[in-house]
Amino acid sequence: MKQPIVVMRNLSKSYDGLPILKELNLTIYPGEIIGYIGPNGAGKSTTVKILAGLITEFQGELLINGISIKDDPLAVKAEIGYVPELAALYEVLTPNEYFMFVGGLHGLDEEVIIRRATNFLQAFSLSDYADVPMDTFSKGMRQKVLIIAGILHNPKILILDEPLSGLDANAVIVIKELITQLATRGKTIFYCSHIMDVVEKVSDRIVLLQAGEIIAQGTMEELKQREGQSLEQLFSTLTQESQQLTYQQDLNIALQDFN
Amino acid sequence: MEEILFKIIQALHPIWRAIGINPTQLFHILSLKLLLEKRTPKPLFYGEKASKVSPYSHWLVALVQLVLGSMLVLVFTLHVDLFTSVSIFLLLFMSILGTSLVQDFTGILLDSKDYSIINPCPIPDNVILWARILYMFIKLFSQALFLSIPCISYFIYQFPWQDCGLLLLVLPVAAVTVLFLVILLYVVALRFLSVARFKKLLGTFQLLISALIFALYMFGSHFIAWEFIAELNLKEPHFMWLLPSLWLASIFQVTSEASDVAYLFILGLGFPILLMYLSRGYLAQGFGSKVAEVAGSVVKKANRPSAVGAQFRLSALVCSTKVERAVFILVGRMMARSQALKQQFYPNLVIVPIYFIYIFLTTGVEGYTMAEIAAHVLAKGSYLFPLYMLLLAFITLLKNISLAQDYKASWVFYAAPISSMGEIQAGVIKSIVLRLYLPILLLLGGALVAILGVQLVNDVLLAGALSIILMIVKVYYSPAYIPFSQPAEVLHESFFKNITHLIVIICVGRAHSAIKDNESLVWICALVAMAASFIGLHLLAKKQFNKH
Repeated sequence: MKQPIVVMRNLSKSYDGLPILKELNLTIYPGEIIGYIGPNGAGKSTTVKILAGLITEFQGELLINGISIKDDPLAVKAEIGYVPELAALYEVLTPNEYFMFVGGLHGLDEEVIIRRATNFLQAFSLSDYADVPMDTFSKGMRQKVLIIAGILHNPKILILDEPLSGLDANAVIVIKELITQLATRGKTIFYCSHIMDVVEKVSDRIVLLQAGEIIAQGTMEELKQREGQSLEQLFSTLTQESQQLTYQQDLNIALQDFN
Repeated sequence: MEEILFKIIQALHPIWRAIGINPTQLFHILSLKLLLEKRTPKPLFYGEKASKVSPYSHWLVALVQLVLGSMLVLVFTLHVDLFTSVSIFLLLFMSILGTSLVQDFTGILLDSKDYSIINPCPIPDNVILWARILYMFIKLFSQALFLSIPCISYFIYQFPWQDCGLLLLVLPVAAVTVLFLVILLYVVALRFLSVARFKKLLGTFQLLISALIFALYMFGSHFIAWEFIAELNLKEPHFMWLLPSLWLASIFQVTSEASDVAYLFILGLGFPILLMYLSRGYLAQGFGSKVAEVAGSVVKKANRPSAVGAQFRLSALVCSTKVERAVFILVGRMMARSQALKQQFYPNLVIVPIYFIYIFLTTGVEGYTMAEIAAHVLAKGSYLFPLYMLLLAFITLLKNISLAQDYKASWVFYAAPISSMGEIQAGVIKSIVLRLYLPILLLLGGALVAILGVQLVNDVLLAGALSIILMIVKVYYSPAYIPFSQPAEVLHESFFKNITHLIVIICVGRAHSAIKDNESLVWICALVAMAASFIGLHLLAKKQFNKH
């Protein structure tokens, strides 16, 4: 039987006494693509930051490849590639320089960095901009650079926080293909997004988070059997059920001046 | 204070409307800017121990302004007429405010953070420009106030109430005039220069201002002929009439029957009004889009790949781990390319060559030959000063290396498997020492040896090695911040810590000076210090810091 690569046990996190994550329990196996979805403020980004080792203070247990992130955060970070939602990078550097820097932080040899970076830049149609400072890059170009930097060290787990943000249609196709191919090579993908149709297409398992709690999880088929709807409808139904939202009424009130 | 000024600006809404500026939009943007300033950003991650801005920093700035203002009052002790002394006072007053505007407040005028929020809205360029002008005015006003308090107090004590009234009228007009002059300079440059040239001009301009201030401070008292000033009559050389400070000071001549400069006051009042008029129309045209351009929005393909060979070879030679190498290269590139870092560092560095020249120009008496001056400099040991002043500039650089505008990009350090924070700190020190400190020391030391003789080689080596040790000690015993990881607004070190750095440098310099005549001892100390600096670097790389 396969050993799980990620195990969350009673994972909780609070800010100033306000609970953000409430005793999450989740087991992920190598090669799985997890679609991690939930409404704004559900705690997705907090989960991602804990997984990536950016938030170190939390309750409960988080094991990556059998190692507790609290006991050996460096060993865990070495196994993880992280692509943040906001494209924050050193804009005065060129993509090649940035890859050399990030690769260096992960202890990669220069030849390896150059080879991998060149190939990925080609795949993302960025070869012509490899030596251009990134301060003039569009959001999509920066996002591509971040994705390449996230996978450069060949991580076992790739955490993607809204990876398609700002990307054009061609780039979206490339990323979807990249995710699928990485999974067939045994990599685990933790995919956090609001774009339901992409999550539905690429994910092996979908985890739905609401107010810091996992309210549903399973394959798309399992979830459909349960509710008989598309992911978007399912998302809407489940989150409304738990929040008792009456958004249609609220929208009608909000739009009454627009007739 | 800022809120009171904002209320006054709001109360003046008929004026804004009259000059064609939408007051609602203007106050809306201005109130947002004031609110944003209150909410100082916190560092990324591990942010529970975020540094706090010292509660005393505003009072320290006010105290410095009061001291400066008191020094300006000395102008009135010169035995010249009131018109001349007020002219000189206003010239100095406006110069200090102008310098402050260029050095500290340029960022407000050219701030590009909100262009993607404000520019897409139907806000005319003149509102965008005026919101920034008024925000700068609010920031400048408190400085102007503290700077002028000693002068106002002196006037109340020394002059009739009419003169006090005139001074109270002239001072705010002087502040507004200098504000508009600086804005005129920038807006015209923005209009007629390419963005790349403008950025370069900005950096050079700020550097020149720093050099000029320090040069004036160093040389001023030596070369000003006080007898000449005592007989100064500013009315005579007519080219002096070009100075706005003279126009404003001429109001003190209005009551004088035989005055030929009183009418200049019309110019003094009319000039800022003219600049205000231009700023609402002609100067404001395209301001928003130009600022957006300065932020950078056009992507061009590279003609050639960036050179990597030399620095990679150097980093491989001096760094023991890949993390150290990565940081070594990053720090070098950021220092070479980041305009903000250059603006922080080079003004501190420029005082070193000025002091170097100062030593030779002020040593000895008139009629001394160069050889006699050199003998005096050697005997006094004053050649050591620029060497340790260089260290002061680098200690300041090390203090500021964790600050950056794009500090959020440092998430990559937190996500990377870095075993020892010391590796990062060692990478920073090695990069700064090898790529900046040693080349500059070589130039400075080379110039000293060329002028004063080869016997100074051991002194240069000792000063260099001691400086490197002090840089290592500073980093070793300070909280280890990741480079470029803190917002520029966060203040790390107190005034007292800065004073401590200065005292330590002075003590080390004094100790060096005490042994300077014993050549053998200096050689031995230099060799020991060099060995100690290598050991220090090794220890630093191994030290486990907490990540900040």
